Amino acid sequence: MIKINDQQILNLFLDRDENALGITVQKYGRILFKVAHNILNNNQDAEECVNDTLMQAWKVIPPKQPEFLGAYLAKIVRNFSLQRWRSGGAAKRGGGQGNLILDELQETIPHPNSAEQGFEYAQTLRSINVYLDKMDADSRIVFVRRYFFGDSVQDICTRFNASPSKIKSMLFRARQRLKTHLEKEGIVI
Amino acid sequence: MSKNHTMMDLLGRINNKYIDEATQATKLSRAAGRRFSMSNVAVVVVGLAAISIVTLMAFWLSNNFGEYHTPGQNGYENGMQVPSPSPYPAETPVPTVTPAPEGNIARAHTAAQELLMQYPTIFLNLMSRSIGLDNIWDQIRSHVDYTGADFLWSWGSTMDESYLMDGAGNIITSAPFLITVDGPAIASRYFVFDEGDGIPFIIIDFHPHWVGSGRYHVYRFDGTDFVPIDSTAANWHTGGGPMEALSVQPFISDAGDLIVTIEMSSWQGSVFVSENGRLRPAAFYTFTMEHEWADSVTIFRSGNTPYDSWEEYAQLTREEFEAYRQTTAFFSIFPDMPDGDFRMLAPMPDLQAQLDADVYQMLREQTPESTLVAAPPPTPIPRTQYRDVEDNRSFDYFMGNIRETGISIVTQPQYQPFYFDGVTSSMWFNGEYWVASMYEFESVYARVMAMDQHHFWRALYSNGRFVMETNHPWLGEFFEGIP
Repeated sequence: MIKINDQQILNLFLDRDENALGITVQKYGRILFKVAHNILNNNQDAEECVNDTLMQAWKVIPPKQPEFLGAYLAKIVRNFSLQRWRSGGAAKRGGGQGNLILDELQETIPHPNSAEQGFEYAQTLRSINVYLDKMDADSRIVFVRRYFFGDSVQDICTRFNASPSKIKSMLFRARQRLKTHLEKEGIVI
Repeated sequence: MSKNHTMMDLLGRINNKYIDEATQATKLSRAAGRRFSMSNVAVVVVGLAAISIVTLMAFWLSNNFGEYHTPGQNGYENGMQVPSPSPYPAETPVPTVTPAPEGNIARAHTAAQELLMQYPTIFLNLMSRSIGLDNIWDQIRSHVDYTGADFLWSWGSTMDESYLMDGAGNIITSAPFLITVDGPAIASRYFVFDEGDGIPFIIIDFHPHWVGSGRYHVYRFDGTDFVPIDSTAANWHTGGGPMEALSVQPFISDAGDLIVTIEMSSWQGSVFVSENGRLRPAAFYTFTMEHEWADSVTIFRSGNTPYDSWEEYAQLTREEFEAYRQTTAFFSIFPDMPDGDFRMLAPMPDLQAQLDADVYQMLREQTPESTLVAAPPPTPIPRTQYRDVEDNRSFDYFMGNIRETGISIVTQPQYQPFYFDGVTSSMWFNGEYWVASMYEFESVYARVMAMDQHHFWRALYSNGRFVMETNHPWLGEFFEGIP
């Protein structure tokens, strides 16, 4: 792990120093690749998404100065990966976690289908963050590893030295509670 | 954009601090169930002490009384209950169990779960014999589009024909592989056993909780992979009442003969014998009164076909039966058993596992209502055509409850509401076509019914509570008034 903190990396971005990209890759490249690969299950696609992410970061920093650089980059790479996944190839090829995650999230999810979609979307996002805040840390970490990073259950088990049944159980409960939470918030399921 | 994708997007925009937290985390504070505190340690110490005492007691009892109990039977000796007896009969040398390499065992569990996931998620089984239609599949397919289904199973026109079809109705394979599969089924759990040589094998309990049904798949680890060695059905001899296997226990002789006992309930069970690489159902026993307090037991010999040919073989008093049951001499009371000393294959300590509710949930998410599409209403089949069903009680029971008292499962959260025979996996009612699917996992039961092309109701039974869901107007009203 590279011994440079996020602020130092940000400073390089802010100074328009291209070393920022290389150091970012050293520090976060593996994580970003993993997120992309979890969704796409394809090395080449994943690498391209990581490159797109770096390019995007270079474009937006500055003016943006994310507090959590790693999380910020992970979001970007995740979005690129999802875009690519939806664009056809990866979803049809299968093998990644994308389809599995979608399956698991079925019935947990709101259904924006009206002119108020934008408002509902923001409201739902806020509600999800409230829910995450209320979760116990372990469940939240596992939930985020699965549904944000796209880690497989086995990956999570390995990472935390936990049994598959335990992790699946945590995920199941988290999904159920999220669903209940959203329903209580008046979000259409 | 589908709602699934929307959720994916939303989760991609959660607060960065949670992402950062998950990025940094390398362990869980609860260590996923492995957290230890001093109180935990105390519990473990006390537990170990208790186990030691129980083991010593069991060892002493087994040596002094020469009796033997299989797990879960909780036998009584001289008026004293043996809490946790030795799994091995005193007269049989206790096999030296070499702990299996962790890798193999871990692999067995992983393989078992993967195998479970490979089984079809949607089953439609039609006992055409019962309703006298040879082309039932075509009829069904003309009304219901199951294109989204992974597989469909259908009986042929006779009891020894069955087909595995893909979602488009193409026959993938046919009998005898599926000959005894009956009823909407779901692979609900698995057992990992060790023969003592560190090479595990897996029994998949394909358990539909349905009358005349049940299937066990056996896989052996061949050093590289888990390969199927046996596939057999259980339960189809019971003739009434949904059965749940309480225990599955394999025994093996020095000659390599494998016997698997399946205890369906406290008062009935069956015995399977390995023959030419397949398990064949050999015998079935039931307490005469079909209750555990019955005073005698009838043993049946397997016939050639299910349902029809179980022949009474012997009758024992309860005391005689229980005396046999406590030893491996148990097998001697059944017909056509292999010779030899049998020893029980011990379940892997702490590794006998059942899938958790997460698996159930995953399967539930694939329930068939989403695959149903609009189609012309089918022509109702006259009620009289169900007369061939072996147990009309069950049909009447179910339909009567539907018609007269509403959904019986609300007031009777027991098995009875699901107590009907295979024919009711599909049926016609008041001109509506119903498709029923039964999902079961441990104590969680789900019933999914497509009432017609547009409506469904489903009931989930979990932890003693039923939850109903329906999009049907009058059923919805009905449910509203139910606590």
